[in-house]
This record gives sequence, structure tokens and C-alpha cells, in this order.
Amino acid sequence: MIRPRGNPAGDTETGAGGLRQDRTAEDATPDSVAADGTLPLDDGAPQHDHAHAVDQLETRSGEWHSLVDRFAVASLVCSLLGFVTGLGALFGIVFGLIARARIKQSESLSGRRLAMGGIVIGIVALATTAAAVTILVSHLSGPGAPPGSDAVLSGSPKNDVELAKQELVPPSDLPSNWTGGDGSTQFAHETFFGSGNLQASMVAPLARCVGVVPATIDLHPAEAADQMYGPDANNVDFNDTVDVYPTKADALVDITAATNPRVDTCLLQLVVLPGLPGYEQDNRSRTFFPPHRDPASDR
Amino acid sequence: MTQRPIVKAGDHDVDIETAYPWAIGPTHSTDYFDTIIVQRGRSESNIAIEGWGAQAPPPLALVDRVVEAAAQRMPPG
Repeated sequence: MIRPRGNPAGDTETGAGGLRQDRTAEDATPDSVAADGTLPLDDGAPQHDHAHAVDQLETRSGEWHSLVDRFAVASLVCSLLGFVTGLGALFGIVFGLIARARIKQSESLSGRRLAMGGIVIGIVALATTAAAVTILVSHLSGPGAPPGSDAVLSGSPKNDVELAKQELVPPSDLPSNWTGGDGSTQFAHETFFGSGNLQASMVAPLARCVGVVPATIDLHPAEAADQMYGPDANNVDFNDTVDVYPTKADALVDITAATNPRVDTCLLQLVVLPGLPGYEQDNRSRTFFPPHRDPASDR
Repeated sequence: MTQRPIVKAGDHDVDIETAYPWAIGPTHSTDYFDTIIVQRGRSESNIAIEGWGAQAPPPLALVDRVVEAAAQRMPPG
């Protein structure tokens, strides 16, 4: 109900603002109030006029809230939750599309930008979730991932050793007539491309000579070595040693050294000759052996 | 020392073969040492096939077989 403004007794208004001073209760009709469009907040207005104005504000405020489409709000909330739940983003996108359709059809509804925000955030959340799931799955069940390879994601030295053990070529992948040897574990590499017994003090000069960063020469990668295998009644041996490096780049440095002709030259110049006098190099494996001590010479 | 062509199974694969002919009196033969390295991601498999007094180097079919077996067990990345 719209109450008439002005003095109910029909007195002339004289308050501040000076509007409608000649109006009376009879003059104030619902039509005139609506056409006026102003709110009677002037200090000179009677108390019941001020209360009427508050009613108007409350009514308008209530109408504004009801105009925002609830699907738009739900869209934004669900999309934000999608970063945590993943599936919520899907609901956020659907609710956003519904909200946009409803707002388009109805002039009394608002929240178009809210709905659009919900859709965009939902798509981003969905893409992020999909990427995270893809990466996780590729790590855990990729073509090369051994079963139960939780250690793949950890990168800790202890788990890397376990990973190296899982990556050893098993006897089942060798010819059927190949069997294990004496059961002893082969010696570990422990150094830069099998250049065994390489001392830590020689890493820096060796790195300079070869042309790599010293930090990339890993003397003690996480490592596992298998037993020796070979066919029965034949002089063929097979063994496998797996190294797991902290990073892919570290592993790349080591295998690159395998075909780098400078490595042999540098090892001979820096390690065998001045570094470890008396040491002998096994050219097959680039392994250096300490000076041979003949027991007879000690007598 | 020669580098033999092998199947590509990991990120990088190499087979370096060293042949040592030897003779002791009337007996003579050749030792073959194949150092096979398969690298995939952070892992590197160092496989050695050693033929003492063998008449021929290890067949490439065998080398390819172990290279694929090693690479298959290594996680990518």
C-alpha cells in the first residue's frame, strides 16, 4: 500500500527542501508519487513519511537480491569448489549455462557476469584437474612404469634405490637357457660413466676437461646391480647395473659421456697419470685399479 | 672400439663394443665386450655382455631384446 505524502491535516509544508509546499493529503495520489520518483528524505518531512521511505528502500533492496539468478551464484560457487573436488567444476559450468539462458529470457533477472565468471572458472578448474590426473596417471601407469612404482614420484634417494631394483632386467627377459651365476652382486658403478674408483677431488678437473658442469657428475647415484647371468656351458656373461639420478639432465650427462671421445683422454691425463700414480686402467670398462701388490715382493 | 646400431627404445641408447683379439701359443680367439647403456628419464641401465673367447660378438637380436626390456621397465620423464 502506498501512503499519501504530506501533512495529513492538510497544512502547508514549510520544511527544508521547499517542495510541494502547496500539496495536501488530497493532492498526494499514488500516481503522483510514482511519477515523482523521489524519496521524501528531507528533514522537514513528517515522521511517517520517513518510515515510508525506509519501506521503499527495503522493498527495493529485497527486489534487487531476488533478481540475481540463483543458478549464477551456484555456478560460481561450484566452479570455485571445482579446484578441490574436480567434479564441482562440471556443475559450475552447467549451472552457468542455465543461468545465462534464464537471464536472457527474463528481463527481471540479473547475474549475467556472475554466470560467465562461473563458466570461465569452471573451465579452468576442469582443465587443471584433467591435467593433474593425466600427469598422475602417466607417472603411475605409463608404458614404462613398473608395477607398484610409487617411488617414481618421490625422488628420494631411498626410494630411487628401490626404483633401480625394479628396473633391473630380470632373467625372464633373457633367453630361456640363461641362468644366474654364483649369486654374487656385481660391483656398483658409483661414478661418472663407469670410471670406477674416481675420487671426489678429481671431479672438478675432469669436468673442466670434458666440458661439463662439475655438479652434474654424480659419483653416487641411487643404484642397484643384478647378479650375473649367462647361457649354460658358454663363456658369455650378462650383468645389469641401474643408476637413478636426481634429474633427467644428470642421467643425460652420464650417457653422453659414453660416446664422448674426450672422456677417455681426460681420464688418462687427469686420473691415471698424475692423479693416481700407479693405477692401471681397464680399457674395457674405464675402471681404474690400484697398484698391484705382488705378495712375493713384500717378503 | 665401435658403436653398434641398436634399436631405439629409451631416450638415448648406445652399444659400445670392444673387441680384443688374443693369441697364446697356437690358440687364438677374440674377447668381445659390449657396454650397452639405456637412458630413459632419470634412469640409466648399464648392461654388459661379455664374451670370453667367443667366435662372434653377441647377436644384435639379443642386444635389442635386452635394450627393449630395460627401457620398458623405466618410467618416462
